Order: sequence, then structure tokens, then C-alpha cells
Amino acid sequence: MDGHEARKRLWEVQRIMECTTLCTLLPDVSAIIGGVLAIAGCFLTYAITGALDFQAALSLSQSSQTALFVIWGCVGVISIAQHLLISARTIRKRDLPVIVRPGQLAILALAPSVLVAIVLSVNLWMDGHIRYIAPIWIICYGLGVFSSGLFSLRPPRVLGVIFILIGAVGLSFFQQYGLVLIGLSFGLGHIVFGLLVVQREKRDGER
Amino acid sequence: MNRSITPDKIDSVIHEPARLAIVSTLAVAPEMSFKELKASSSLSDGNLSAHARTLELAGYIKVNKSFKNRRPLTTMRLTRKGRAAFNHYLDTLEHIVEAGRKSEKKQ
Repeated sequence: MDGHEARKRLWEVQRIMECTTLCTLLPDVSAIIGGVLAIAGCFLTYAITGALDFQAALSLSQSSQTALFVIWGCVGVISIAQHLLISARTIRKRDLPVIVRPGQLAILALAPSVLVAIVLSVNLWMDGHIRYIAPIWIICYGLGVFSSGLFSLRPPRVLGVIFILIGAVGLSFFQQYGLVLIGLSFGLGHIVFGLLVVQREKRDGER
Repeated sequence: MNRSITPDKIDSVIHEPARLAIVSTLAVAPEMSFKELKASSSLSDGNLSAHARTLELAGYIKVNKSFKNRRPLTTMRLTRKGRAAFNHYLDTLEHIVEAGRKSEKKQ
């Protein structure tokens, strides 16, 4: 074996190990926290709007609309921040490289969907069709998670499909129940996913 | 200039690409089911079984067969011997790469 072939082998080993590392870095506690935050956001929104339909926000005062922006902005920022912090802690604990290449690929896979969701949200908001924003975000997030799951194992792909289904059904038949859709997908979906990952890790640890 | 390494220095059990993929995967995952390993390595059932058997006979992996919801569940994990062999294989590869670099510099 010459140096060139050995280098190719090492690259292949590195690629496989990075992909598998990403699989073992599936969000567990951070997914549960994210889910709880989403449900808290739903409750706070309901307390302000008094309706399950995001469309009700249009009839609110400027300050209440700002409060809704702040609530969901905080839910988004805190969810991402806690996920990054917990992932960083896991990476340190397992002595893995700080920048995991498949992690970057996963972010890249998620980015177009999030960008599309933002563009659609802005346009829907400007046209006054804000009840469609929730199912659109659910579908786009599902697409992103499904795509990022292509670099990992089956669980993220399954989560992505569940989001897409909830979003599609919600968009077609239940747009007026945006808060319920968010609670089911970003809330309950993440909590169940996190619990399954925790259970899986526990099972692996016992064996 | 000798850019090759003698075949006896390379562990032939790990050197085979499919087995190397299995060992590399198990080196970072605590345990994997047959199904998961099949998905990540893109090997057929028969191929994965055959390579897993070879690795098991060499004492590099431990195959555990059980039942989950009345369905058979096969899981695999890397043994201490397997990890040592994998680390040694990587060291050998790095040594070859380094030797190759040095000889290129000399040229």
C-alpha cells in the first residue's frame, strides 16, 4: 500500500466516524427543552390573543403584537442557544472535534428550508395571511430536519416526516388552529423525540 | 525508494473496505443494531452478516442476539481487542502516509 492509498483510507475512516458521531449526537435533553419552550410559547400566545388562531394577532394592539414577536423570538433564540450549549458540552465530554463536518452539513441542509420559511412568513405577514405561517414553518422545518437526517440515522428523518405530515394536514384543513399545530409539532414532537433518544442512550449505556 | 509496506504489517481483517467501514462505525457508536449498521454501511444483509462473522471470529466485535417485541434484534459492539486493532491499523496508515510524504520531499 502506498501513501496515496493510505491517505484515501484515512479520509474514508474519518468520514464514516464523523457521520456516526453525528448520529450519536442526536439532541436529547435539548430537544425536550425546545419542546417545552414551544409549548410555553403557545400558552403565552394564547394568553395574549385568547385564540388558537394566529390570525387573531392582527386585531391586537401594537404592543401586544410586539409582545408576540418577542415571545417567539425568545423561544427561537433560547432553543437554539441551549441546543448549542448542550451539544458543546457533549462534544467536550466525549472528546470529539469541536467542529463536526456532518454537523456543518446538517446545518447547510436545514438553512434553505429556514430561509424559505422566513421569506414566506414575511410575505404572508404583509398580505395579512398570518394563519398560514405556522403550518409553513412546520413543513419547512420538517423538510430541513429530513434533509439533515440524510447525513445521520433514521430518527431525524422520521421526525422530519412527522413535521411534514402535521404541517401538510394543518395547512390544508386546520390553519385556524396554528397554536395547536405548533404545540403538537415543535412542542410534543420534540419532547417525544428527545425522550426516545434519552431512552435509546440509556439502553446503549446499560449494554 | 520503497513506498510500499509489507503486507504482513497490515491487519487483513480490518483492511477489507467493508469491514473497515463496520469497525470505523462501531469505533464511535457504543452499540449498533444490524439494521442501523446496514443502513450506514450500505451493505446487503448477506455481506454484512459475512463480514460481521469474520470480525467476530477475530474477536474484534461482539454480536448480541436478542428479541425485542417478539422480533429478533442483532446488535454489535467493538471489543477492546477490536479497538486496539483499529487504533493500530490507523497508526499503520498514518505511518505509511508520513513515509510517503518524506519520500516525496526527498524527490
